[in-house]
Amino acid sequence: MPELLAQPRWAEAAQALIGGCLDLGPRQEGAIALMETVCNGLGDQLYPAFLRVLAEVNLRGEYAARAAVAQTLAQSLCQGRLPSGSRAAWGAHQAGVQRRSLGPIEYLCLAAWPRAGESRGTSELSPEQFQTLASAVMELLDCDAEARTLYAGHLCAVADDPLDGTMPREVRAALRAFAQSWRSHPDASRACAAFIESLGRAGR
Amino acid sequence: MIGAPLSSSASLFSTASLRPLNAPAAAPRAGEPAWLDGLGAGGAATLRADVAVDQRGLSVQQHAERVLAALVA
Repeated sequence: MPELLAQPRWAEAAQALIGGCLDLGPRQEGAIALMETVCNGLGDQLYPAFLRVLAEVNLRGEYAARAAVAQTLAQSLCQGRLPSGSRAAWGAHQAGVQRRSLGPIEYLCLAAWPRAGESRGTSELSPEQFQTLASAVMELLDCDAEARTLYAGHLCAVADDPLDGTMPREVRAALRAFAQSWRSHPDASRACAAFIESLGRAGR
Repeated sequence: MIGAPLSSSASLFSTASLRPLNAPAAAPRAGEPAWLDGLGAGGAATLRADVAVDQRGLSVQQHAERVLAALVA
């Protein structure tokens, strides 16, 4: 199992991801496969490191660099190959539980607002950390209008999936409003803040 | 991309599972996952939208190895 370096070189990793997407062609099969290969190489345990790399791209990348990664994410979504991490779908305390593959934003959402049975009901991210990470990933996707529209639609589908046992009911409702807000207005920070506030009102 | 099942008690964001290799257990700030350390800090290095000459034409696997080499042992 890979282990995170003592001092991960986040910016270097982000530059390598940007370079790879550009060299292989944003929206092309190669760039999609690159993201999949990176996530497979990290494994589920280190999937959050991939999210950190996406955040680095957004925070430090020039516009064309961010757009190349956003376009690759959009095409990944079109093909149902969004780079994903997995979490327990139901009852993580039970042996042999089913696992659910989750894209970056819904993964962060469940890390911050897990089901009562998952992680013993304690969140792994604070609302502030969720805001930082989710906003960064969403702002990255905002670099490509299609990416935002597609991902917002994807989040709505996740929220509306009646068979998905991953997401608490109140989080599902808030996620739907969150996605609709983001789809209407490319303002990630505002959408995240409203999402956090609505969950706070719901007692989460 | 669902990988091998984790142990039932594993926490994907726990500082234990994501603690940097050879780093002291107390390295992350209280309550903060290790992989969030320094996010947004450390200057304003700009990531460029270009590919170094010696990295052009690499395979998917070679590009992926360059990303992973900066992150994991």
